[in-house]
Amino acid sequence: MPEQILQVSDLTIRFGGLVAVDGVSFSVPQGGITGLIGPNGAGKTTIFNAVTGFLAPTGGRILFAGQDVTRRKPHELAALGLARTFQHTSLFPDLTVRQNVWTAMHLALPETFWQVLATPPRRHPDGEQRVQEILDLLELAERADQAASSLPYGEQRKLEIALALAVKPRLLLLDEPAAGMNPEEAQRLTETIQQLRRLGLTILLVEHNMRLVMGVCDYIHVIEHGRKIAEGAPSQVAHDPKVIEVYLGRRGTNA
Amino acid sequence: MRAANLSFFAISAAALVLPLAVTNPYYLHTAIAMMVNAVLALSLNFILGYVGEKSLGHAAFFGIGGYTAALLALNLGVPAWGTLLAGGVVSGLFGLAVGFPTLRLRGPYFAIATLGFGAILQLIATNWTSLTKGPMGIPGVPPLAFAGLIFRNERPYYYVALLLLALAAYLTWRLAHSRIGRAFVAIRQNFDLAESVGIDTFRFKLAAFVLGTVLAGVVGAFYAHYTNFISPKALESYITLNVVTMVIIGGEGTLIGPILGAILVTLLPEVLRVAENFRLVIFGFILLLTIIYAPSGIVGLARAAWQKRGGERLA
Repeated sequence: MPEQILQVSDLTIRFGGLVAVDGVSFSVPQGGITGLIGPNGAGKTTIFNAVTGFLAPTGGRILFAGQDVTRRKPHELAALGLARTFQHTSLFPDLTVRQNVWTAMHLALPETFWQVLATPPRRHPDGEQRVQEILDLLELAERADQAASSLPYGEQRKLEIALALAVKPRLLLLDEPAAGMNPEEAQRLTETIQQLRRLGLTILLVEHNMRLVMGVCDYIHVIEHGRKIAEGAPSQVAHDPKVIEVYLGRRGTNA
Repeated sequence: MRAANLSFFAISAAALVLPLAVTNPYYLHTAIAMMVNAVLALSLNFILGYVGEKSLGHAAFFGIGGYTAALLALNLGVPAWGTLLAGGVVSGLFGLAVGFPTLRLRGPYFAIATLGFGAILQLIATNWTSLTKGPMGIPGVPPLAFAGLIFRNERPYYYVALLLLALAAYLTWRLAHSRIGRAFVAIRQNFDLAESVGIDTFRFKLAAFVLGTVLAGVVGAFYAHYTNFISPKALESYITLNVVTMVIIGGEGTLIGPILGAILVTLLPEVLRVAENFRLVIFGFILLLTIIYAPSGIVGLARAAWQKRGGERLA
């Protein structure tokens, strides 16, 4: 069994009297793509926000690379190698594409306050090269000098992934990357995600789009009403009667 | 960028020789007031402009610097330059005390805390008469001196003010083009995303704020020495409003913007010669127009005009 990069055990999140997530446990193995699926309001994004530090869980434990990271802040998790994208497009809108990626390289270019004040501005050839690599990988190089807010939707979502890659993640969490995409854009996104897998990245994918999930995931956890109801390989999950009933059966394949 | 470099050197040279050509003390005084305002605007610009947190008590930090310098010089005989440093340090400590609990929180808490802090400090300066001599203020703050030479007219103060402005401008320029400045802007542009790419938002917000309060304290101390006087008027909320106006009409989060704003806000009343009470109305009106029609200030307008002409993108 490969090493588990992320282990979530008995995660519970309550908002007042509402139990949004009820004792969910799952783990993400090193390498490959794990999916977290479930109908709207199942609690997927709530789990996601707890894992990335944006939400303090009521109970349970989150281990990242063997370290207990429950209730750590998002920037601390980023420093440990956990990067995320957001469900709603989230960029630095007024900065150019290149400046966006530069800004996301924050952790890779440590400069202290005194270093900044005492030395003239210097170039960071390694950093610049890395930014270029990321732009090339996501086919954004031609757009490098455009403001992020001026990009077409599909490319904005790609830029989000570029920003997450700039963090040098050991685990990349994608929150509904295909949300709002047309089938063609979703297809291109699938190719991008496949490409990231080939680079050896470990990905946890929260997604609605079943075609995308079935197409790229190695293993899937199904959430419904804040509980885990099934897990397994895509073909297994697709034939699980419980899953068909609560998810696929009722909502169609959403493809 | 050549043209920009050229105009930078031209303006610097002009600023250096100005006091040699201009001897009228009124003009020199106006120039000093302008530079003091510019430093104050640049000091607020870190937190308000780059990071985008509403700091609404900036005059308090200017006043803390002034009172620190006055009290240290008069009661303990601390030499003049030490008081400038002390003004910055004390002001920065107050900034730390205000920012530490409130900048962690999201929402209007920081704005409310700074607003309240400004009001409270003015009350203290007015009512703690045994320390501050109350509303009368503290007269007789000794002038600055250098190498045994006591500064008795405007000219040497002009150069000290210019030095402070150069320092503030250098800090702004250098930070803006560093990882730290990028982190500031990232926080303003998208807080959650800034956190998720590893930026310790609390730390950078606090750094921007404390840096600004230190600078405001230094320039406050300078102003107390220059006018030989400090009173609770230095902490009044209209001064905060003036500084906020400078930053916003000039262009938040830029180097040139707050300086242009300071020039405008200092000169306008001198040129218009309007009654003091009327100034606030006019500034309020200008501020409103700016926020509605030119949210990126003069610099934003200039940039848009430049790009329309098909010019290169300004950094």
